[in-house]
Amino acid sequence: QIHYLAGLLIEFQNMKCVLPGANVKLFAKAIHCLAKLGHYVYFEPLDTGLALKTVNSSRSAYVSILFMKPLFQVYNAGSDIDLTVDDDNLPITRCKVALKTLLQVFKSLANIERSVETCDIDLDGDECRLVFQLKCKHGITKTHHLTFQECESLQAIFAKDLSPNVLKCDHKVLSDVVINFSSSLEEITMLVSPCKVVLRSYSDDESDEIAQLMKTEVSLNPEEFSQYQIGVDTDVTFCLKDVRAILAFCEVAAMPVNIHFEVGGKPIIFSLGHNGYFRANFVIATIATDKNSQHSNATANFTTNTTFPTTNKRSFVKPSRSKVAPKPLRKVSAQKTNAKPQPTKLPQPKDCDSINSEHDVSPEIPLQGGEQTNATRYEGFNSPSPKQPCFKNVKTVFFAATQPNDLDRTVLVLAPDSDNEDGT
Amino acid sequence: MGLLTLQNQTEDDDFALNACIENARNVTHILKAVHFKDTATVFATENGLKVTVEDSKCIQGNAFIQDQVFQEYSIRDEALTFQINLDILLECLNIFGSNNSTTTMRMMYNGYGTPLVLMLEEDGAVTDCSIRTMEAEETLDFEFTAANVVNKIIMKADCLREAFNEMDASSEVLQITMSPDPPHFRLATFGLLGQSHQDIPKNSDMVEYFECNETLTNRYRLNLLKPSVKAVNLACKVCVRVDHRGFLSLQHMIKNENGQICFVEYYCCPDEEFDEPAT
Repeated sequence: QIHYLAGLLIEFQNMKCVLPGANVKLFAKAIHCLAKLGHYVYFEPLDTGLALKTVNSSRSAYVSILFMKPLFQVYNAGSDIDLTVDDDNLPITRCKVALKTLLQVFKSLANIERSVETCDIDLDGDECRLVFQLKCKHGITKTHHLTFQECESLQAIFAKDLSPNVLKCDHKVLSDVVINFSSSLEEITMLVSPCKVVLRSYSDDESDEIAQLMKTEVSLNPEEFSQYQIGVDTDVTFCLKDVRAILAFCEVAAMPVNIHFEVGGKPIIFSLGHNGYFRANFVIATIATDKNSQHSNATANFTTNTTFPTTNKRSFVKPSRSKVAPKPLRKVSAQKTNAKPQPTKLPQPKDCDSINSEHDVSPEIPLQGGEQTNATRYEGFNSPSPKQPCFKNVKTVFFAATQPNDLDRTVLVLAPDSDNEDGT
Repeated sequence: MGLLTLQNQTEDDDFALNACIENARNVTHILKAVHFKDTATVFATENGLKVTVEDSKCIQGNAFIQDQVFQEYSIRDEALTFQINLDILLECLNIFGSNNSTTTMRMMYNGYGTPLVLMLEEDGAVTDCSIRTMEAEETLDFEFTAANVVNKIIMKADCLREAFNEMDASSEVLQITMSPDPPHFRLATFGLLGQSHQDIPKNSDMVEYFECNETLTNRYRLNLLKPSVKAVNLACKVCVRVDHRGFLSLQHMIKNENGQICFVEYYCCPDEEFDEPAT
């Protein structure tokens, strides 16, 4: 009797959840989307639901999708035990799985939609396997025991509620815009002002003839957006491929998408969600330009004050708006110089992989803005030395306390989210 | 087609094998189901053609095209055997492209040492092909007899197709378990990324016939079995049989465009464990 109970207890501590067929498609699509952005998915069973997170190798994109309890038929997060305690007997509550593996489970979206009735997800701590069991029509079951790695919580630091600029629109509005851009285009720039939003192709490489030959620009009126709040006139440049992946996911979720952003160099956050069911945050790095470093000095209190309770948001946003009010004047001149790639730009390090260089920060920040910019960027930010390669600057756009020498470490211990984004 | 019929009246008796089909696609499809090696051995008897393809002395695919599939079929001798390059044969059959119009085909062979002559006609355009034949080598005999079959399941091809197409390609082997007890029919793979298995219970709508006498688990090289996916993709039903030695037979029932039923059969040897004591 006692043995039986003990067994039951251990089983109880492992994560176990059952996703009904109707929601498997959303889950599968989330996996497909994550696979486009990162290499590993972090499974974090929380009290509120199952969180899937990923970060790309250059750490310029971070995704967190939370599937809340009501989406599941059965949901048992397992007991959350501090993994820093070094005890092998403790059950594993978090893990990361290669997305390539997980795609194997959710390979064909058409098949999943057609035949899957339920999807069981179990974290088998004894066998060290993450088990996916798809129960399909005709009594067929597909079971996948996937290898995983233990990991610590992955958490990016961002505070979307404090963003001065908020746009909300139907995902279709953005999909229709994005489809116009060349598929080889790496980045796009979004310029916002109180009267319109302009999306234009971005290229910082003058030698790239194709990029120089064709430039695409699409303007959107504020009427296209259900929420249109521009606190700071600005332009942000970010990876188009990431946006495409996000929009593909939004299509299945069929929900409006919120965009929170500040200035270049600060992350842009795409979010969507259905109250009480699921929530997704996509944090994408933006390219920091010279003038943006000035911006970030001017708007430093957005970030340095992130410890303020979010209830202060309104009173907080207002003064900063008035503060940045004279910006447009300065911006005009800044934009003119920005129209051409920075002549002072240093050659990029050759060893940056393509993803890194995509989100390359121009070295002016560490050289000119220096410590001030870095120090004001995010709380807990360890200001890197000005001489370190530029991609490290990007890496630390979201993640606090990463040492310059632990580039290879993917496991991160990070400060708690100021946005309460895990819905506690 | 008119031309081919005309030819027929003058040359009919001159050939050891003379077959004519109005829709060459019916032949092409079946041949594609065994097209995993370039060289194929063709056996012609009065009942039709059997095309055999082998690989690594471990797997054999047989496509049967019975005489009824052809509009005309005549054979002079009792049996003819020759080897042919299947790649070239399929290319010739597809010479007018794979559009919707039908190609009429006449196939002629005049015995040992002569080429296989194909005449293809589509919308009045005629192509003559002459493909060199080769000396027929002996094909494998798997000694797979119905009497030795231990387990047999007939199922709709849909579920096997899905299973094969979703299979973890990083796995070296496919483990097939057939059992009178649950899980009845299990396909398992062991890849770099983990272990996956798919179960089909005997009471599933997909299973049409279930006769398993004992639990047998055998492993087959996945890269050897891979070609059979081509057949599964075309099939409407598949019969899976395993004999007492673990040899696997997959019989695919393929319906052609005229609604006739043809069979493609695959035989595969099980993967032997290396550490098994030698007897």
